[in-house]
Amino acid sequence: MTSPPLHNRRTALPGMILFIILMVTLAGIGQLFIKHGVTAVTDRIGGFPTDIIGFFSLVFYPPVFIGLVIYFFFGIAWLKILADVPVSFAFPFLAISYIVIILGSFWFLGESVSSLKIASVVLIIAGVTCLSRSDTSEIPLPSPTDVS
Amino acid sequence: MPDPTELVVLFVAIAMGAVGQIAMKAGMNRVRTSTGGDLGPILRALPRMFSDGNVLVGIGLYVLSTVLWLWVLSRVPLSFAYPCISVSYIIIIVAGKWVFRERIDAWKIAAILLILAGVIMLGYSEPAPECEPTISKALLTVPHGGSS
Repeated sequence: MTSPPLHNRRTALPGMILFIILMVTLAGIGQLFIKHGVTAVTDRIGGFPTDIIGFFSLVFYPPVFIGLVIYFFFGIAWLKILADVPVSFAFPFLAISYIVIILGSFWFLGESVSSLKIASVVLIIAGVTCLSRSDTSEIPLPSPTDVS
Repeated sequence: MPDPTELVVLFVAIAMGAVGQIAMKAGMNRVRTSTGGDLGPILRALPRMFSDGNVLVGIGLYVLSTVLWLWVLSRVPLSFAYPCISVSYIIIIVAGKWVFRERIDAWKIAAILLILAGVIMLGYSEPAPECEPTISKALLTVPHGGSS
């Protein structure tokens, strides 16, 4: 067999999975920060900034900035994850971020979360889970003994 | 449902993010091959990542997509906008076939259909928050038929 391994042997698979879960949870929290900050700034100045100074004061408003920093580090971590595991293995973990976002936007941002909206997100998560069950002919999943 | 301009900018941002993701994956595949299959510690890998053209194009698209995303978030609830990002999986599946020669099997078709159904339902679950209170207020304050 010349097919490449599922993951980089430097990182054990359970550690990799834990790392991915931590990162997607953080990504959800980052979006909540960004949304909270953007809403606060645009409410105060009466709309999205149209000049470059206004745009940078939006970007450097602490909640937005913290959210963007999280987003940036998630981007870097995601590059590392994509280098170690196939897209089709990594992507389903993003479903965790939907749960974080839906709960957070209801509890912390006071958005309306109807049962139709929850049902829609359940359908989307089901779709994303189907992706993980799909034939990943690019790279095969490891056998249970493949832990050396 | 949000107005057409918001929807167009939202989906342009999502498409740019997805294409950026594909460019980064192609770039990271190349970086990994050039290191003999082992990327090593993330800090040592950074210079290689940031000197790959595809990775840089991917990051550029990500930055542009983030600016559009901030604009969208200033006008649309996060619990609507974020689940819409799942449309990028559909773009990834289709692009995966062309760029990485991944097969589209029944699971991927199921994923596409479920995500599409979920996002369309999501559109109907989102009331238009700017218009609805105005309309109902107008109905309350303007007497029907002009009789008093």
